[in-house]
Amino acid sequence: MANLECTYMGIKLKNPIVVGASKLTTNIDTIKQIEEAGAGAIVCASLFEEQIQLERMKLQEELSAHDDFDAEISNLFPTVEHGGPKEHLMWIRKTKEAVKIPVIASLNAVNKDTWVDYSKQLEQTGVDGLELNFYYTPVELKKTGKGIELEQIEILSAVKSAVNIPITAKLSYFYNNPINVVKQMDDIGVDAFVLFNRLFESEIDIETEEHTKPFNLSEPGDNRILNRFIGLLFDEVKADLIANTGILNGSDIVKAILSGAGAVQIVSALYTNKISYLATMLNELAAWMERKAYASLEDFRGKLARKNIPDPFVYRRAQYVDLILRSNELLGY
Amino acid sequence: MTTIDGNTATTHVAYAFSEVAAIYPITPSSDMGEKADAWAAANRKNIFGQPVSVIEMQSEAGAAGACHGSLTAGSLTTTFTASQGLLLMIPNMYKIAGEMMPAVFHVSARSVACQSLSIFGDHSDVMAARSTGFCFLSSANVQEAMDLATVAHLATLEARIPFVHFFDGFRTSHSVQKVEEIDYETLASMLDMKHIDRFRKDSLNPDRPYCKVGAQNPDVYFQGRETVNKYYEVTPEIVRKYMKLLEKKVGRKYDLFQYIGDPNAEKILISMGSSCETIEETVKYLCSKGEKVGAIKVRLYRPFSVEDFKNAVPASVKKIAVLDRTKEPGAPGEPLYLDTVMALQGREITIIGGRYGLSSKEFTPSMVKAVYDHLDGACTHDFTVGINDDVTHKSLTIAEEIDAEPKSAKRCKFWGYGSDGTVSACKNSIKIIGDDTDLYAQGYFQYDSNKSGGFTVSHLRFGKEKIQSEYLLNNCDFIACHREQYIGKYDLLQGIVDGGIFLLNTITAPEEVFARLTEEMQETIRKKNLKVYAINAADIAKKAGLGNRINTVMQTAFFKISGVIPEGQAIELIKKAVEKQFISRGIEIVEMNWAAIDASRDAVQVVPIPKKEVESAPILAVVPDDELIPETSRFFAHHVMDPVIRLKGDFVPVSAMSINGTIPASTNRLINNGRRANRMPWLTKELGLNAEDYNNAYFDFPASCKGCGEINYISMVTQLFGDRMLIANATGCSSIYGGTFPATPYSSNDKGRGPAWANSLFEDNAEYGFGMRLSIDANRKLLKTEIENVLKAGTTDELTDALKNTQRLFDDVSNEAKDNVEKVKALLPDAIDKAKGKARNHLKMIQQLEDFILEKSVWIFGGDGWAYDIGYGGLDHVLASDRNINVLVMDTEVYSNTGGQASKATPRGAVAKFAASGKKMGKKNLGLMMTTYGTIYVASVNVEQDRKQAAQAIWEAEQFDGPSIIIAYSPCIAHGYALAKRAQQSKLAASTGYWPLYRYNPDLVDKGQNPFIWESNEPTEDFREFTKNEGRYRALSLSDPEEAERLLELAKKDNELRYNSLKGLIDQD
Repeated sequence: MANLECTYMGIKLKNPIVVGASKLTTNIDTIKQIEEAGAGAIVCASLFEEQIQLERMKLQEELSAHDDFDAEISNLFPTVEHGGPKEHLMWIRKTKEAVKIPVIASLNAVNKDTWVDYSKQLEQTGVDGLELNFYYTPVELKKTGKGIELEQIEILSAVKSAVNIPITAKLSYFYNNPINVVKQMDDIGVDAFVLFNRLFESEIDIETEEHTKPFNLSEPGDNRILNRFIGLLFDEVKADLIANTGILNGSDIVKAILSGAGAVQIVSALYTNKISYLATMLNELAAWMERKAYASLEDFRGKLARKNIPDPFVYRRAQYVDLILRSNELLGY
Repeated sequence: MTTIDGNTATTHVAYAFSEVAAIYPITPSSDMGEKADAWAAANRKNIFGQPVSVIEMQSEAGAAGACHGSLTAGSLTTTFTASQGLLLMIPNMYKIAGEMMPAVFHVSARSVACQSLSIFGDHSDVMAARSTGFCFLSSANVQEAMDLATVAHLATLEARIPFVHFFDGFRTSHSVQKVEEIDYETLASMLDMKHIDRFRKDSLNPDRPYCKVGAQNPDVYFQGRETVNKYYEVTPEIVRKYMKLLEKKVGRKYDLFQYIGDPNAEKILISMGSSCETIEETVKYLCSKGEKVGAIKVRLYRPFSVEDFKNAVPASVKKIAVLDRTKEPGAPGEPLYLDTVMALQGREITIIGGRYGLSSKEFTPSMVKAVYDHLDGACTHDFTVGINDDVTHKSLTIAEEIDAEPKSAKRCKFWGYGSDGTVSACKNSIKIIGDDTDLYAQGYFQYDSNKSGGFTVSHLRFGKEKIQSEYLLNNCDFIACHREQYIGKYDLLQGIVDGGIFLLNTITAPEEVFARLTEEMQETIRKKNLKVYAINAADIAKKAGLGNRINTVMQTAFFKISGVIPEGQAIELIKKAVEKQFISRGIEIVEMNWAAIDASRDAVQVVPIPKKEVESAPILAVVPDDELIPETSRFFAHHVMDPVIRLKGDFVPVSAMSINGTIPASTNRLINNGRRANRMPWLTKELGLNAEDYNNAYFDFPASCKGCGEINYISMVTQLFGDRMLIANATGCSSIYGGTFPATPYSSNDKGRGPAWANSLFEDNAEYGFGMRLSIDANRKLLKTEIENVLKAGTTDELTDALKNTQRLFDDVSNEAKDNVEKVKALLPDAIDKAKGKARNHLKMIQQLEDFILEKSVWIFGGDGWAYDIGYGGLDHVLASDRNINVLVMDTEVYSNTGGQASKATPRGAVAKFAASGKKMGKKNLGLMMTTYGTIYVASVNVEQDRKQAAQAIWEAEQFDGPSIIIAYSPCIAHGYALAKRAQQSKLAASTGYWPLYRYNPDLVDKGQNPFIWESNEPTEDFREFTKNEGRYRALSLSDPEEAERLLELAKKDNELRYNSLKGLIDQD
């Protein structure tokens, strides 16, 4: 069988499938099943600062719901301070103890100090790496793109100098020039990039005229954009490039690696199918490699990256021009 | 300066000087123990650099015992208590004082239960303890509570005599005031370590053993008792010394007896506690009007320094009225009066005594003036002030209403309802103004005593001068009503001044608001030229994302229009306060509140006052029409219930009150428009009983918390046995919703029969109910003998038949037996008429005992605090008897009524007060323990899980001719979840193996069967499924998850152990 080993943020994995931060990685039993199905690594569900804040508020509201109830009940509970990320940290520690594959913690904070503080606390749990999940959807009209980039770079620098474990930046592609952002972050010493984050998109129900929250799963073809950017970045940055979003089968893994990905993260594929589908994806990858007589991933990694293809116009507007010129032939009009 | 309440001020000092605190929760002192415990949990250090070791005991008697032991072994020890709690400490107080131990007991003085319980303030508890040998030092306000607590802790060490430091319950304990806090460095600087050295050296220690003798005999006991005299003689001087030291350190001057007023006054008052503040305010007012009056504030009450007292009374004084906040029935006068008379003997002064302020009864400047006027007038002794005694005519008439408050005072009143945020917003406003401006601030909060979401009234004062008005607002510059539904029920505008401001939270448009007010309100508004504002707080809060939380909105509106401080400054301060409060929950929450503040500023709208007459809102009826009120209750309904419910109970005259605290049954019905509660139709079906025989409900609409898990059990028991049952009810939630004046949910059937309910105390309930049984048994035994005597002597044929039937049906409670009772009762008068001599006497005796012909069902109700802790000794004792009593323990697993303190029923891992880091030990298996007697009927029930089993247990317990106990799973708001989900959670209690169901029926042994009936299924779900839904567990998971996990695992083992221990009984024969 082909050798599927690879490196992810400097950590050696037995294969390139990393199960991403999601509901699937919130429960130790499920995580064990994922390990049994053959995953190379897992990223634990994210620690969200906003969630902690919300929980803190909810706890205080619950405990104070009967404050000043009557003359005898000025309150019903003693003062209990929310432990911040303690519950999450405990769970991460337990997860790390429960499985042999590398365990990566994931963090999404709001305040810079919290990014650093929580990163340090997550490091203490013994995890192999830390994914900084820059899940950010700006809503402020006055905030500039540059400002956002600077903030994120500052946070990354601060975290990088505060912890010793490898760190990954998980980014969306909503930057003016994503590869420039990646490059700047790479210069700080980020160990890997997860490209790209899948942002939540609400739906609109036209009958009730309300926003709804559909289950946001990847669809076939969602991976094209990341293959493009990974192809552009391959060999241009020191960090590993991890393909994320739309990796739904073995072929998608192949495409990502051909573009230059070091490994892939999957979630939707396991939601749509079952956890055991992970083994199927690995088999598909191995079968393809055998068919193509590749002994290892390195043999074809980045083969279709910008650097390695003879036609550099593939990554330029050429595709677009080509589409316009051949629209009649391709689309029938 | 800081704004705190009296309990906090006191605890601040007690914590500093103590190493050990052994406590037991009791209103209004609970907060002190809780604060000390919370500070210790947060690792706050006393002045010796250690957190205080705070321990919750099983009762105040236990707390006092632990204090005694701790003192004996050489630790500086304190406790906090009130009322019955102090009374339970008395035996140990004699010991502690007798053994010359320095200690301070802090007491938020409260009424003792006499004709009725009262949680409110007076001096009847401290007066009951005055003979113990403790010193008694009294504080009149929050600042004094801090200062004199300090003096007490310092003086006790030097004097070697223990102190009670007391202040008025609620009026001082719960009043929030701006005070100067004494820092721990200053406190430490006043301490002379040599006294502590001596204290430690005196302690019981095997390194230098001595023996504290257990018994002395007539030859020496008396002499031993007299050895202490010299210590008591010098104590006043020691107290004064520390008062002076305190003055040197903090600049506030105190004396043992402090004279205030005109130095040449001819008439003075003498009083103690918060009344002194009101008296001082009035004295200033009267002196400013040219009157020559004065008063003496008593601070050190025991030892009573006669010399100092005499010196405090100016030579000019001709008349003195001594005011006692206690009642000693039968005495020639109350204690302070008698002390005064003794101290001033030989001086030509007329001294009279009077009572005021029992159970926090208002004591106002007008009343003070009435007392001075009384000295000028009739000047009779044994007067009362503050009530209308139309029976013995001892009360003074308030001839003139005066407003003695400083002109700069701003007085603001807020109407809200329990837990709606009004009180906390008011506390917050006081804190903002108190901490961030140079104004003085005071807040006092009134609550409904029902648990079903009653009213709150917050009384706030702000001013440039020190506030001494220790009474509710009688004159208001600002009144806000946060709950529109109160219009027509309460006198919302009572006391508003000319040109005052009224703010109404309403959904009504401003131009329509006026027509939604009562005619009386409209008239007041017009007559007094009030400015009326409206705000739709719910709308603003909702739009700002704050849901139902209207407090920020109402607070902003208050600041905007009240003019207490300039609007701009106020808004800035609220925003700052909001940021401080919410920043840990994220900037978004802060911004939401800021947005609400800004929106509220703009949303306060002026209500136009129409020139013409407009519609008005009706006065809402609080009792129904007469045809719905039983004739015997009409007077009570109209002259007692109606005013009390409208918060005009202060005007109920003495003649309208019962002499023994009783109230008519079925009165809750009246506040529910005469409606009766529905019976539970399933109950008789489940038990296979004839529904006709049990077709009455006897428990109407108790004012419990919504979703209270106790109610079903009481409804079941009363529906089954209500027409022949007596209930002894331990103090707690069930006694509050069971019998808070002026209404009781216990009701009668058409024949006028129903549960006869009574509450004695907290600790004695098992014995109380047991006593009822003894009495019934004794009377029935006598009755039985008398029936035999009558039958022997002969009587009318009809009565002979009926009495023979009585003998046959003596232990029967069937309809036949009940009918026969009526028959006997009807035949007795005629038979008595016809009888002569001894036979007549026997018949008269039967008539006297006719209510005992039918066997009674005696029930003992209480919660887990009573059954597992304070009342456990008595419970155990009466259950070990052979008498037919039935105990219902409504186990909420926490002291619900006093605000969530842990009991021995609190499960491991749950957070409660005194178990802030999760209860470390498992729940006591009370049921299993009681099965070990083998003679007690024991059942564990959970009505939401298996109502049939619960019904069977109740039925069998009553049938069992001996002691029975039912332990009933009772969801409570203290479990920390919405009780609408009570049923699901109760089912989880079963499916996770937490709450086992069983019945242990000793009668089955005689039938050759195993007495133990196991009725639980094997657990099918993880215990976590139960715990994750309840705030009491979740709080620990979120604050200390590792500990929560550890305790959860142990709690699972507790469950297993409980299961296995109980199931082990199956194998026993």
